[in-house]
Amino acid sequence: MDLFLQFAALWMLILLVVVLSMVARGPDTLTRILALDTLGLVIVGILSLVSHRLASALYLDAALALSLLAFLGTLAATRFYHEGKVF
Amino acid sequence: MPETWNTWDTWELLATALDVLAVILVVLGLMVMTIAVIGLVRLREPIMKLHATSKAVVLGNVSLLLAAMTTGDDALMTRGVLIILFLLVTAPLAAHVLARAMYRASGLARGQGQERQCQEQEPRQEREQG
Repeated sequence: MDLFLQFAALWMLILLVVVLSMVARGPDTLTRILALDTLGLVIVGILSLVSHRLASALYLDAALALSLLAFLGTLAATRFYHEGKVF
Repeated sequence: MPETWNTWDTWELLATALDVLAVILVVLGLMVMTIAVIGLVRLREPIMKLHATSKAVVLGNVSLLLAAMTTGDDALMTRGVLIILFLLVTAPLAAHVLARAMYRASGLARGQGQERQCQEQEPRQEREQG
């Protein structure tokens, strides 16, 4: 079980690198914002795998805060893109 | 009933079933997240990429969190339910805001999309005739 969860975390790390490369070479600004949103949710998946392996809820607090910040960041970046201001 | 089942405790059976369920949920979550990232990399336009990722990433996260909740820890289960509810509420909002920005940026809202659709449909009709 531990080995399987380590393999799963390694797989998610590969996905994280791919999404990070999409953030770097996105042809469009909106594609970059979408890739950043996906990046935050992939990190939430990695944190849930870590908390599954350690059977502790410490990492899910970070996952909750990170999902909140990814949502707010996407909202702010998109509003800044097509309205020129955040508020 | 086979004799080997009598040597097993009921709680051991339940723990094994929960482990099997966790493995199935983790594999499902990894597959769905991989499909989402492949869609993010391979599809052409930003709206297509949004269509691929906005639903699949949330489903993969829900699957991974359900797998983490099979460990049975109380604090872990409450936080897992919280994160699942929060993702199910906020991910459609973020996808809607992104889709509206993409719609306005692509010129479809100003009526330029119909000309582009006509240009795209003409070669297809020629291919059907030839």
